[in-house]
Amino acid sequence: MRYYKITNRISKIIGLEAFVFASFIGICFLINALIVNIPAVPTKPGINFLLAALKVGLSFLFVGIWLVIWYIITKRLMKTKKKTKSEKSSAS
Amino acid sequence: MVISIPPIAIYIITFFIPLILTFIVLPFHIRFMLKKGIFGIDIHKESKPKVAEMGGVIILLSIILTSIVGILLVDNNVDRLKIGIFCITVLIAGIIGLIDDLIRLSALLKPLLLLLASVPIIASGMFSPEPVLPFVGKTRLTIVYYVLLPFIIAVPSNAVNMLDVFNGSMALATILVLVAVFFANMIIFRGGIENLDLTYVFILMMIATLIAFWFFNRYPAKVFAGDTGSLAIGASLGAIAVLGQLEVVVIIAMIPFIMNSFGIISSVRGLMERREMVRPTKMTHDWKIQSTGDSKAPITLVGLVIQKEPLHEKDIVKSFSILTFISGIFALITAVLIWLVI
Repeated sequence: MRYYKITNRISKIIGLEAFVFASFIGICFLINALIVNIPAVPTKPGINFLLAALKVGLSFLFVGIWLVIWYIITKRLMKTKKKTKSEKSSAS
Repeated sequence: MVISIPPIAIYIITFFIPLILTFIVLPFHIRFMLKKGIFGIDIHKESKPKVAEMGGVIILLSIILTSIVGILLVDNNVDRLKIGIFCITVLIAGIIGLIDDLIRLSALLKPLLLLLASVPIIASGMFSPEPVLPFVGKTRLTIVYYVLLPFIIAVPSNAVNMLDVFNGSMALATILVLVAVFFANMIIFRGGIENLDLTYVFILMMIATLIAFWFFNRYPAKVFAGDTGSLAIGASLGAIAVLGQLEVVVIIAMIPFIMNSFGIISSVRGLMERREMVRPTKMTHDWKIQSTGDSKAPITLVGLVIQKEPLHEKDIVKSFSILTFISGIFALITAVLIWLVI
């Protein structure tokens, strides 16, 4: 089969791949816009440590949300296939 | 008097040695393995041909010998140490794969052992715990990086291993990843012509080895890499990411690999050996690969590719290469974004 035909067939997976990339870049943008701007307090090391932990925690939260959305989309892609199959069998 | 060899000459030598070596030695390996009865059956072909196993041993041999040549060619101890660290990291992953090929490790023990492959890098301190993110720039992950480092080696190792399911799929996809990482390194760090950049040496060494290996592993395969090969190749990607400060670029270039592993691990809810899972595919009467439709089967990249209708093995490998090519373009975009902030 030629490459362009295969590309058409896997367009949804390419879409998922693009989503994974775009959302990763989006997370980096959000981290830069929101988290990096949280100011450090050098005079109070305790608070500074908590703020640093908060920054890391929020970043991991973003990554976690990203992974959950990724998982849901992948699941939906597989479900679409099962639906089509059951629809076909009921039609026959 | 120390003779300094120009970087270009080192790049050329470390490309052609593994290429020629693998091309020459692999046919002997194939004959030897078939003679000794160490072969696998290619279940995706009607004739069920016998295919020599453990081709990864030659990949390892090629990397070790090229690393030794590299150590002899470079003119300073830091570079010698860095090449040695790369070689030992790949060797540890390869030995774990070899043990798995011979005595079958459990699904949990294999990734746990792979965490050990990062020990040489951690012990040498030859890394910067400041990965560069697009927009953000350099991040200071001093403690977190130490925690993440073992996974930066173990995760690509397992991911490459999980995609080594069809003739030539792993080798071709990894070559595309490495080519993207090569150009990304060029975009981010420039240089490398007047001063030696070892990241190019590692990438060229791996590309050359994989081109020669792919020649014998492509459809219809004459040799399988086995876990020895796939784990070693995956570990080399992780080592290139850490030693070359290209963590984010490698992750993006490996999106299809990660999509595949993420799908499997999340759908079976944990780590499971391939042979313990419900098979996600079966063969049609005209020897195409189709989904079994079993709800207990793991979600794999193959499952997503063949969801519309069955596909021939060669076409599935083409699909993988299209997906890796696109992720390679994404990796280059990421490299440009990183270059803008450093």
